Amino acid sequence: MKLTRLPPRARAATAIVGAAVALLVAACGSAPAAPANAAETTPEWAQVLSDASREGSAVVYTSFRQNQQDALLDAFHAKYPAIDVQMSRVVAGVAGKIQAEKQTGAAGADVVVTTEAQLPDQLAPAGDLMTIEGPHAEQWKGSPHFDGKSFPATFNVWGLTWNTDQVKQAVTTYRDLLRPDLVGRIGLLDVATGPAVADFYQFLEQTQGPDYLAALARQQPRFYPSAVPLQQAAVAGEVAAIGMVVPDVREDERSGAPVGFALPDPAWAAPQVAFGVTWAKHPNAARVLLDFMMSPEGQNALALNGVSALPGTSGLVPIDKVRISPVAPSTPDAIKQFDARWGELFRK
Amino acid sequence: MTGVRLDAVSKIYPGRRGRPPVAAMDGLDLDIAPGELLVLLGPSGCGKSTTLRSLAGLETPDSGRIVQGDRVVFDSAQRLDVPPERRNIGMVFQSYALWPHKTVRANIGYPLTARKLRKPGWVEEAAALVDCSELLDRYPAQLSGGQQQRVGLARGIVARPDLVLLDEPLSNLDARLRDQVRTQLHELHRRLGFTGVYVTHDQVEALALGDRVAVMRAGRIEQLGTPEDVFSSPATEYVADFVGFTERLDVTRTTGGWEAAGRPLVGLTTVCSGEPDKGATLRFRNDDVRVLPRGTDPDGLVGLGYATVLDRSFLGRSVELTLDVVDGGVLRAHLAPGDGLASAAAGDLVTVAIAADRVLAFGRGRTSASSTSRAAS
Amino acid sequence: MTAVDTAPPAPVAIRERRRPRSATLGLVVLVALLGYLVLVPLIQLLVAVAEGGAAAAGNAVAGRGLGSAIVTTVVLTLGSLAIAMVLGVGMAALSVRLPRGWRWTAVLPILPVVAPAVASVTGWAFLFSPRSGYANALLRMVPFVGGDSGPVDVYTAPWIVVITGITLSSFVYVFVRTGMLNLDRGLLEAAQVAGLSPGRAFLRIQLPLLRPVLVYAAGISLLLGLGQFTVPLLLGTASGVEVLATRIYRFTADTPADYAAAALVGSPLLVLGIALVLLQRLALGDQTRFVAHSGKGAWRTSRPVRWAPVPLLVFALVAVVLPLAALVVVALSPFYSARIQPSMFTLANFTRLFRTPFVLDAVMTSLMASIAGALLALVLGYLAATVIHERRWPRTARMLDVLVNLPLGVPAVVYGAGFLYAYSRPPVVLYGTDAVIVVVYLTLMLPYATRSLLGARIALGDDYLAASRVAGAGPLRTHLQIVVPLMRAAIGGAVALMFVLLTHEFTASLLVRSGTTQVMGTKLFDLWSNGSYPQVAAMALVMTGITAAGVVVAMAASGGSNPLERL
Repeated sequence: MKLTRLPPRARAATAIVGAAVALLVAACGSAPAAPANAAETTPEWAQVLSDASREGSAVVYTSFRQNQQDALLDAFHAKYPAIDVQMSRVVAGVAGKIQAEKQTGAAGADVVVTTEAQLPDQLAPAGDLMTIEGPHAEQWKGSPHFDGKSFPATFNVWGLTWNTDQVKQAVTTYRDLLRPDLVGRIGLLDVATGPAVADFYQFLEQTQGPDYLAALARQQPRFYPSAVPLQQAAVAGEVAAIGMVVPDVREDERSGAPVGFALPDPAWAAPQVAFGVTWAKHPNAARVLLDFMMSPEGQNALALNGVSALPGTSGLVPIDKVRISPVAPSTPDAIKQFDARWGELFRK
Repeated sequence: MTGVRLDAVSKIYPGRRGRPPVAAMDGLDLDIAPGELLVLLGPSGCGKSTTLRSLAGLETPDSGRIVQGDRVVFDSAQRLDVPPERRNIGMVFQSYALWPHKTVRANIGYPLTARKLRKPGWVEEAAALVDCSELLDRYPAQLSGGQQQRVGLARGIVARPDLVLLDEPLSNLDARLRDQVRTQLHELHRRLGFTGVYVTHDQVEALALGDRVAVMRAGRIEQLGTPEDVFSSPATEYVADFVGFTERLDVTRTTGGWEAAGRPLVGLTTVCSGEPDKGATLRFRNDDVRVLPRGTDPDGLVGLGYATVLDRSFLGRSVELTLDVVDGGVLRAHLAPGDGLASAAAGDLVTVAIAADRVLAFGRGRTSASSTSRAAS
Repeated sequence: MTAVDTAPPAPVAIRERRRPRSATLGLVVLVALLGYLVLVPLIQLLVAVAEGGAAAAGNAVAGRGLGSAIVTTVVLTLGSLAIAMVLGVGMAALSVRLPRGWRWTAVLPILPVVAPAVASVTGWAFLFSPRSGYANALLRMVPFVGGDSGPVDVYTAPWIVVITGITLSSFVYVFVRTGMLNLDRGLLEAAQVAGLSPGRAFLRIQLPLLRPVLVYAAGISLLLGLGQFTVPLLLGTASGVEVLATRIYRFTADTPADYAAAALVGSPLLVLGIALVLLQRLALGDQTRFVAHSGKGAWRTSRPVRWAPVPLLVFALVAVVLPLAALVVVALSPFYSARIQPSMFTLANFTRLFRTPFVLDAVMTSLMASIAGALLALVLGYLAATVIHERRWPRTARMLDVLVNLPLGVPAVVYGAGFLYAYSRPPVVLYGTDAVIVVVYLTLMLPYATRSLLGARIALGDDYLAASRVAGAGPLRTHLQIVVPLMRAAIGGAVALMFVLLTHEFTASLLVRSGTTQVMGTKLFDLWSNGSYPQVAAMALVMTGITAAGVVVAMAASGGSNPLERL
């Protein structure tokens, strides 16, 4: 089918039908567990690959950092040069965007990677999630992280960073953030940024003691609306130290930025949950990409900033060194409750 | 060549912001003979331009009928209104309205191309008629005002239209050029004999160019006649004022005759017929006013009484005295520079008089032409 | 009279009507089209409110900060209005007193309008970030300032007001300067002859004479201030400074989007905007606002002020040159830091930027949508201006005049919410397509196109057209051969002006864009929100470069005169 020639509605309809067919195929039993290399040659998968090549591209809304995107795309395009994956960093409002695309049939994401770990559960009841099928997905069967519809593409670990121009002494533990020389000079994320941030604050409470957040609030922190600007604020010297930084800050360090980085023990790590949508315009390319992200190559590329869920993949740290989010109850009510408590502490 | 007829044509502009509606044409009847050049004369706002634009089809009257030759071009009863491009007319504008992005040749030739007429030589011929042959390849911006208007004329006549409309074509020209182009226009009409309607507020142009002159006021024709008629026998005070009877004196009837401000007017015997009680207004030209030494008996003249000279100014071919007639308002008198009293100075007391056959009298209280007569003894 | 009593000639068989059906049909189509474009987004918002009902009202006021958003909006509007009026009027007064050889500096105060707001705001942030801003670092070297932070914190309300004020001052400047140039110089000279000093003559004679212009400029600034979105969104988010416009945006960006609440929050802006458009129509209904300025260039002051160029140069330095310089430095640096390290300068950010998916697409979409939007707006604006100018359908003309001006009065963020809502559901689903950007741009540009062309048309007068009609040319031929060629300069200027405004467009674009359909401004915002600063700076420079090219074309197309003055 030559999708590009059809009018948008027809294209959407065709895509949905195509996805439905794919779902049916998947439901009718998949290929027996076999080594990945062999599986790639099954007729079904060969068909997916050739359809994906014909689709030619896939669009991803992702929370991956730039270094992860680069590593993943380099590996993927080396293996599948006919599929051009376009990644767009979308953090806030990803749910709204894909809902709008679902309703209007507009061109948009085929695959989503998000820090909003609850999103797949919210979408699943409406049948919005593509069934993930493929030779590597097969390897994940039975993993507690994989339910057939979504999986943690990787876990990004959060560490500490300080600006070496601004502070003389390294900031390597969460306790260090309470130092008197850092009053008014630390940066934090607002809980409104997302549920993951709320979970991180609760991780701090669990590991640093119940009084820690109050003490942190007394440091007169400066708040940032999202993680990348916060990180850049530390690089720029806008704040002297932050405790919520993804290890890709070390790329700035390598290019000469005056920053140091430390990984506390234990560290907290947030899943970057990946799934495909049933209205994808490029369903087969999406399946190939999702499957690749589950492969050891994909997992290695993505684990640059943390931990892989796939056993045997070497990430930045071993998975037993981190606490995987959520560390606290993540129901909407529980999050709302914590938000209120956080507000009392940090908003005057 | 065709004539044009207007039957009871009206156009009322609604009053804005509480002002009363304005009638630009008020049941106008007019019949223009083939080959005639009719002048519509009147001050701004009298409806003359609306009339012209209605003839052109640029304006839509509210009611009435316009017949061009044997073709009805407007009829409110039939909801018929032929657009300008289908009326076979030519028009000359006060602003010249030469298209600046086209050459003179293209400007003159436009009526031919627009009507898809292939008439080789017509453009050159029209240009030659107005002495513009050597300007054909220039752009309007490179021409003087007089040249531009001559090109405008050529454009107006090039397609040999049934009717040529001229909308104050000379008003934007300075005085000297105006006379020159006017003479050319007159000759052009004499040679080509087109049917034309010419709108102006200038009585000199009107009298010089018109086969007939229609003086308009508030959407109606106040007087229609030959230039000679209108000039010498204005039908109403309004027309009189417009053709040069600028000086006025209010008089009232007494048992014995007439008086102005309680003073009997010697020599004024006959006057208007109707409504004697309401009195009359005398009208005369300022060069008919006689200024005599104080106490002179205005023998054979109508004596207007004493006056104080308020001011004197030299106008070249005449001297203007501004006179305050005792209890009778202010008059201006134009005297020949050689006249004995032309050297009068401000403050001098003089006697003012006028020849009885130079005075027009109009019954007061009416604006129309119903009650006038020449005030002759 | 002769021949009055001859028999009336029989009417000719052909019935020719002045208003052929095709013209009336065309008018109906035009009104319907414009009505759809302009009104449907607003009506859809009202429908959303009606459907949302009490729940929407609850959402609109729920959560913290509606009260403070209203207060901030009022403070921002009035504060920036005050700054804009003082700066704008002051610079305008100086700009007409420039000494010989320095007259070119009169163009400087317009530059902030020419540089895209999203770009210059990021430039300001790089300058005045409290700790790492380049300008702050410099200021800290001044004795007694010192410290390791400040003195300016660009992320706080006062500085948001200042930056908004500077942006608005350009608009005030354009209007007031034009007004001053059109003032009868004799009146001023009379005042000076009567013994008033130039300063007193300015205060006592010129300002009162300029009152209509000042009121108009203040009205426009008020509208722009009320709907101000870019500056509070980019700078205010970090410090929690929120205005009604940013609140509207958040309601539409939330999941699920709450259009009813967005519309309710926007309703004061909507009502004020419509009221101002109607007021302006009442005040200037007789179109005297378009009286052609014949006295252009006639302004030759007898007494130029020698220091007049200095404030204008300082303004350009602060408002344009420094933010741009900051952008250049950041764009060339591997990371943003207060320490400028020329040895590390690299072009990698630009190559990286263009390898980022959708960036090149965004540039292309911007260019394509701007050109298409401007051209379509030109066609509709030409037709609308023709109907408004010809008094053939007076009631329709008045209605059209209000209609096409609505997008100028209603803040772009409210319109944007309306567009997003209206074009995401039947009957016309355009979400996620380039078409939605084109339709939005076209709608937003209707006032500019119509005003420019109407002004030119009025200046053209009626005689050229009448001359063509009586010469036997129909309306179509008249427009194609006479009107369009004569309005060539105005048409070129209008297209170029619209192109520039559209390549800048940020607010409405941000609301209607989708994940894959982006324009330069929204892509810049995405980078600002969660990308790297050097790439933000690179993107801002690319955007500025493209609009600068547009401005050059605009200047050329409108014969060197300033296209902004056509408004």
